[in-house]
Amino acid sequence: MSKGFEKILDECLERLIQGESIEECLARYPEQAAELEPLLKAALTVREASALEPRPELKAQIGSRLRSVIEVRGQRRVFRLGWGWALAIGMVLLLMIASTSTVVAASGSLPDEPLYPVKIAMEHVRLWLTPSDMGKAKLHARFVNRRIDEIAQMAGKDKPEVVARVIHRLEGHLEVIPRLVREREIHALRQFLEQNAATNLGILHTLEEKKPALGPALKRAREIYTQTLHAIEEVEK
Amino acid sequence: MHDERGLVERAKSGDTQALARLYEENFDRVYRYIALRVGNAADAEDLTAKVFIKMLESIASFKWRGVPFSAWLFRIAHNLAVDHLRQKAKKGHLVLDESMAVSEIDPAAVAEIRLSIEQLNIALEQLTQNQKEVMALRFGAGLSTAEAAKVLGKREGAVKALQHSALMALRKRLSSWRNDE
Repeated sequence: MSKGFEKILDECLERLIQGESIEECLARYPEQAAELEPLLKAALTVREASALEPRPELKAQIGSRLRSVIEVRGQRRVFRLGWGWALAIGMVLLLMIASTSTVVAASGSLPDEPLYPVKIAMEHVRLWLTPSDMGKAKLHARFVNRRIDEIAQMAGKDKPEVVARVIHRLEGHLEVIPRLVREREIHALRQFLEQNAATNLGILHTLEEKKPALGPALKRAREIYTQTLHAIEEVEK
Repeated sequence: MHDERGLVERAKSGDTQALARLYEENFDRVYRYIALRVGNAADAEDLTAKVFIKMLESIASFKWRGVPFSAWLFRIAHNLAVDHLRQKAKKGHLVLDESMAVSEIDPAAVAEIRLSIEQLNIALEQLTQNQKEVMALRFGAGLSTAEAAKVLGKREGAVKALQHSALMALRKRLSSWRNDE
């Protein structure tokens, strides 16, 4: 076969992939139409059969695994030579030995403040030091409330990039909760989550209306929040 | 993909939002490519996860050398699929899993599409590994010929020739089935 024909075939395939019909492709090359048509039909059959769709939950599951990998890598980095984080961890450890004023101050810090990494590091340490899955789930549920407060405050300061980072953290907490809880232990956690859900979802919804630029991210956070509540309900059933 | 370079640079520096976007934008096509290569939903899911974990581990070392990010990503997918197929080769025939869903199913066309999956499974078995690879990259991943060439380390002309010969073989197989009906 000539290279010219392969080029024409490739162009038609490209157009077919973009959504053009076989007839339109053939109309462009009437001289090659007889030769092109059966190949394009075969290509269309392959393309239709190739439209395989993964399980709807697969993307979220793998995404969650990736976030865990990112988190673990971040923690490893702390123990390498990340001066800022190493300092943060050091300060957290100091808090655990004797409550220092710096770390206490960090506990109320916001995502745009220098001591915020200390606050996050403290949260990680608390999670590491909590042996049971249920205990970890409860901590994550508390951190959900913190993240919502931070989102509200950062949105108030018109800092969309910071809000986006905090929303990402919020999603991480929400997604990990259902994986940690056990059927027998779930009631108290569900109560805690539900007590706060109306307020937290209300805050996100209000911000969504007030800050259109953040709308999609906030909407997604609300959806994940609702999915988490449903997931907890399902486990309890 | 808009401003792919900027997005990849942000991802390289550890920006989780950028990583998430690269994941979102490439997930479906990586899955489809792998599913076509390995022909089994469970294996396709495991390998898809491995592709993105590998992406996460290696993206810091990614360098722009005239190769688009998608070609680099599908090179990872290609290598993992090849390793997987080598391991599975001893166990024999690979079959496209019928439990795989087909997107945007038109209820009236379900029977026809299911038949197409079965046909595709058998028909793909008639192709050489290189031809199957090109079909999976072009129709599963939706890559252009140029991108597929980068993934396979071949010239564009060679990919076009493989594409042509693969479609000839598939046409022959499909028309023989039609004649049998």
